[in-house]
Amino acid sequence: MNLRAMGLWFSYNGRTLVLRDVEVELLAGELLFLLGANGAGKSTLLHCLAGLLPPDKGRIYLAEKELHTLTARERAQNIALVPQTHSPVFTYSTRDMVLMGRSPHLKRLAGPTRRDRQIVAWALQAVGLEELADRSYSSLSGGEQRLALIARGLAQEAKFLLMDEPDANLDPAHQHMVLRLAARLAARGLALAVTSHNPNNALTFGDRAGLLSRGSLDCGVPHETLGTRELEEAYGLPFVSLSGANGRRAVLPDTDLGAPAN
Amino acid sequence: MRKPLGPWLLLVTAPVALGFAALLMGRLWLPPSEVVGALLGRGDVPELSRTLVLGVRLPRVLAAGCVGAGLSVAGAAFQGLFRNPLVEPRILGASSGAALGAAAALLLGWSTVAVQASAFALGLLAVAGSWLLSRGFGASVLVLVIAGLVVASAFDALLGMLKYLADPTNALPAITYWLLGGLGAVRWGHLWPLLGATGLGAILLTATRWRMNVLSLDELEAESLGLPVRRWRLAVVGAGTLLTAAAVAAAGVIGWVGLLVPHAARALVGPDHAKLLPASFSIGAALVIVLDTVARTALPAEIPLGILTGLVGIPAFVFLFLRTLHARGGWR
Repeated sequence: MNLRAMGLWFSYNGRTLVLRDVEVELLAGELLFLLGANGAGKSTLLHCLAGLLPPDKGRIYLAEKELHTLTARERAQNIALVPQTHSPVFTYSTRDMVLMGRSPHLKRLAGPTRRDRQIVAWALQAVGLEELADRSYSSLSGGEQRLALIARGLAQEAKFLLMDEPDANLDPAHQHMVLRLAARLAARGLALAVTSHNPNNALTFGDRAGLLSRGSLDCGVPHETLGTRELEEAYGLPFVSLSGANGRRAVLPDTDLGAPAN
Repeated sequence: MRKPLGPWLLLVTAPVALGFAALLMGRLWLPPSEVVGALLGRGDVPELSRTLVLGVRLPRVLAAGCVGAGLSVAGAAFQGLFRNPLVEPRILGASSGAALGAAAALLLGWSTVAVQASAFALGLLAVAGSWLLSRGFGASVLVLVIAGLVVASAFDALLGMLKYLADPTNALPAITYWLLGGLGAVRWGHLWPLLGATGLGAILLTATRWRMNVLSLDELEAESLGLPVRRWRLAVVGAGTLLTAAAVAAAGVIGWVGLLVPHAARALVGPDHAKLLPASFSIGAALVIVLDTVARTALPAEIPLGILTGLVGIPAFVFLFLRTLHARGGWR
């Protein structure tokens, strides 16, 4: 099963054009990174793919069906959005927060069953939060909240996980923890799309990467789509490429005043 | 899942026990045996006791329970829906509409039943107005709150005009007294609509109780969890309005209960709406039964219920607020 956008155009209020003829496909077993400058439309694209923002033009297919023909419930059974961290007004326990992921699977007007609670326990275990399940969600650290929201996506049993900047505001160790989990979930057969501001995370963890620049998306192997020239084009800032011992590559903004380093 | 039974046992028995105690109390104190006898329809109960219990006190206690339960459960649901713990059920204008409806009917010299019907109808109308107004401007919850404020202000202004026009010897005191709130006029004949509306509204909200948690999240987030947000919001607003309008129509404007009780319930059972709504229902019923009993027994003349809820509500709210603040180490 795949989630596929074709010829996607999107603008806010019919004026501010954000996405211009975007093509993107999410495949089972793949972790796709979406990068781009602030305001380039990463989150917008993610929300379009989740079926929460209707595009001006273009089609989004979930397997054979057009996304907008599905009900909110059917959509949520297949696609989960992991939002950026937020603080709910009420101090729900972490378990209750994750339990809300079962919402698209509940029978009409019914509450969660024992099976729903088992799935929640499994999801909490999968992200390593079982110890903190009964703590209030607002009392968790930023990284733990991120993991809890991922657990909620897992409890949703969706095949497509769309994560909005899961690595934002986290220290490097927590960024790695969250993104390693994302890569592991992809290896287990889920399809993930992750927005990020860190090209090196995409180079380290991504199976594919897309770079949004002037509304267009260029998708491919991270090493190719996130070359120094492409990054300079997207961010308006020169980059240098560094090679590590094991053939890994990293990029850095080239802030040296004067000639480029390579 | 461990389920501590203690609080729930208390929540079920408290309104019933307090309601029974309220039947004993009044200008004339009755022994429990006579009250039980009257309730069971035994023949050996004096006629006066039977009339007092069945004809006067029981409908009043039931009405107090309905008003308290309805306002509280509506308050809890609205606080969740608007993602704001300081929301009262009158936020969408139900109370202002009902007050105007009652005042107009009193001005026209209508019967008690007609006053209630008019209050109820205008309460619903005001919220329908807020809902429709908000739909014209993007329909987010924030817009809905602003539309509610606008509609409530408009109805309040009209109410002011009616009071200005009212005959100051008869109609004006009647309006003023009605607005202060009270259940002194409740008889069986007025009770059925209140019982029906409270039952229906409570059942509707109970059906949404688990979804309320999801609804209390960000709108797009709730939508991404598969909830058709607009439809559920309409269901919650409709049920909450039914409860609020019925309560205000029966008892006048009773402040604080709908704001305060959900906080007390949250302190007792936590923020999960599946537990919070039933707990609010029960605590609200118990609280208003107690307050109404105080209102009719504490002084030789009846104390308007609305004044009493304010006097009790404000210190209780300050206490709860500070306690919550202390427990969480800050307001969030």
